[in-house]
Amino acid sequence: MSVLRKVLVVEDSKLVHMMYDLMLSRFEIVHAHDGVEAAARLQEHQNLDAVLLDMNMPRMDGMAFLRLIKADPIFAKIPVVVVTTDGTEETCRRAVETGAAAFLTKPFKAEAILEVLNRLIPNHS
Amino acid sequence: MSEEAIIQRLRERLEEARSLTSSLDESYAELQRRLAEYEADVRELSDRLIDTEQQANRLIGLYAGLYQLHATLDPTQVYTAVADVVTNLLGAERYALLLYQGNDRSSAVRIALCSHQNDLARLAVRDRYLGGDPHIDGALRDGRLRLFSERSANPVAVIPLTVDEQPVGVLVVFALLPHRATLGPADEPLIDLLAVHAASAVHSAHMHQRRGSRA
Repeated sequence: MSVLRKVLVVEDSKLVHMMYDLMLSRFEIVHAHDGVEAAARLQEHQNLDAVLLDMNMPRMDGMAFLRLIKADPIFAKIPVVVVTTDGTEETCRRAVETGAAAFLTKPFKAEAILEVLNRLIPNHS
Repeated sequence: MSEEAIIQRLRERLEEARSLTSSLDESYAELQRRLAEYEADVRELSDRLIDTEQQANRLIGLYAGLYQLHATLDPTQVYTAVADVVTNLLGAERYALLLYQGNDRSSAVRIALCSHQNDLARLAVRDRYLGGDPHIDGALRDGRLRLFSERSANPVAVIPLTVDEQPVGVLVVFALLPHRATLGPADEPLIDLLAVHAASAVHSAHMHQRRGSRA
């Protein structure tokens, strides 16, 4: 029996959460609506395979959460995919320097998200 | 057996072999033709699968947008859903939602949502749109879509919102996200969705609010 790969979605848009639910039916999705909630979800789900992270969010933004996850030795190895409307080179460079494994812009295509997840999560396709 | 008979037998065998070879060549050619057909079928099915997956993913976006627009009867939450769709599906960076305060095109126009206040600052007093942008005014007047393919255009799109030919307002896209390609035919289903369903969701939420305030 195959075990579903688990992906944490950190995103403040209800619409995008719903799109991930529908597009990533072959994954188990854990939802968080900002960085603070995402930090709590990390403690509850220590076997995450990847994180899909928005940048502009209330309370704790994506960059702050990315720094937090990469500074923690337990979670640092989880690949983080930044998915944002802010497609500037500066944001991309900062995200990659902070430890993001991939950088995608919105509006995104499901094919792009799936391609990145399949590449980053071993033995998943 | 005489030498002649042996030669004759060998000739017959040779002829049989030639005939068999010819038949095998035909079979081989037929198999190759069928293989080529199957390979073409596989390529076509593969292309169709990719198209279907892409179509399904586009429908997922439209479905999620539609669901969010009609998931609430609170006007403020409907405006938020419109902003969500405009940003995350259409790729708008700066936008505004202008709504008629009455049931016809002569009524005042209210700014229900504006992502960047500067875009309407010179055309509004508080939340009331005074007019002055020819594209917005044109769409408010005739209820026809304005789409501009030039990236530098401002606005990029003015989308009239109507329910049963009753004008609700317009959705104005002042600018797309810098990495987003200009609006094209592929965006039309989403623009149609916005024109019909955003209008319906806003209209329903306003009706619900009015009924609540009367009760």
